[in-house]
Amino acid sequence: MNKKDFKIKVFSLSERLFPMVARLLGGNSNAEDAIQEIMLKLWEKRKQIEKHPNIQGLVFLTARNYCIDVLRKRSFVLDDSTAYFKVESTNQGIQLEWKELNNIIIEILKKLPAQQVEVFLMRDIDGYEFSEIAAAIEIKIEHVRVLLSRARKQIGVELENKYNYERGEY
Amino acid sequence: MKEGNIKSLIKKYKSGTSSLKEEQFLFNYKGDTEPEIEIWSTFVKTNKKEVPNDLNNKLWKSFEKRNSRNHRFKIGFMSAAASIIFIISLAIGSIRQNELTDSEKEVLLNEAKSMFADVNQEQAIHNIIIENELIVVYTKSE
Repeated sequence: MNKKDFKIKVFSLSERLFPMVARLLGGNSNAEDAIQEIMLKLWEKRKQIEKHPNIQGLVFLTARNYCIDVLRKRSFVLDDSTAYFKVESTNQGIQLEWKELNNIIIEILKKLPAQQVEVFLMRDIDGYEFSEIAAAIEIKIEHVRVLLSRARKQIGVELENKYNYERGEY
Repeated sequence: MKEGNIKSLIKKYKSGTSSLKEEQFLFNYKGDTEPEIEIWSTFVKTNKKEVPNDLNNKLWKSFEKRNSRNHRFKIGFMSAAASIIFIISLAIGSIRQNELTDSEKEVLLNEAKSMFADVNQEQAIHNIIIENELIVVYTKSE
């Protein structure tokens, strides 16, 4: 694979990788540095990549594995994939309200199996296609749909209960 | 969008069969939906990471820079290694050049031996008569 092919087939996926890498590692500059490292690793393996039947899948898988390695080095608890969500609003009133909501959702996510949470976040927060999620976590697309459906239903029930409780209908 | 359509979209969303476009529409929908969808939409919008403008080109430029730096480093390393190997092989070669061949050594040895007059004297012949751990009895003939 020459430089031009690498740029078209592999490097062009950098923007697609960004949401997942930024969510997992936190911070835009961290994400950009990480994507650089991922791409350098892939460039070194360009001869093997050329023959791979699913280049896009391989790129997603490499990126996810790289992020997990970084998180391990930072000694993060892996199954707590929501621990590094940030409150982005600058308005104090909204911030407090959002902080509470954010915490509620994080608590709900913590109760779910890790794989369900990962699939759910990759789909709803990162906006990935089923094929991309399936490749990144090495499962079948049907399995992704099942995990996603279970997670969405469970989160729906939990949020509904919370909502009813706060309105005094619980 | 009609209420019925939104309900069916929420159903699709929960069963994991909606498309990304439909999900995007659902998260941005301002009309009446289910409360949990509203809460979740807020969470999604707040935590979504926006891709910086022109990220691919920006990263490609620095990738090329780093890659050529690595390439230059590799070339430098290889040339240094090659120079070291060349110097070592030259040194080994010069050491070997200083060594004498077997025939040269033989000539020198003979020359040295010729300097001593008694070297060529015939060796005395010893005939051992008795030999044990303490004594050796022998006769000597020249």
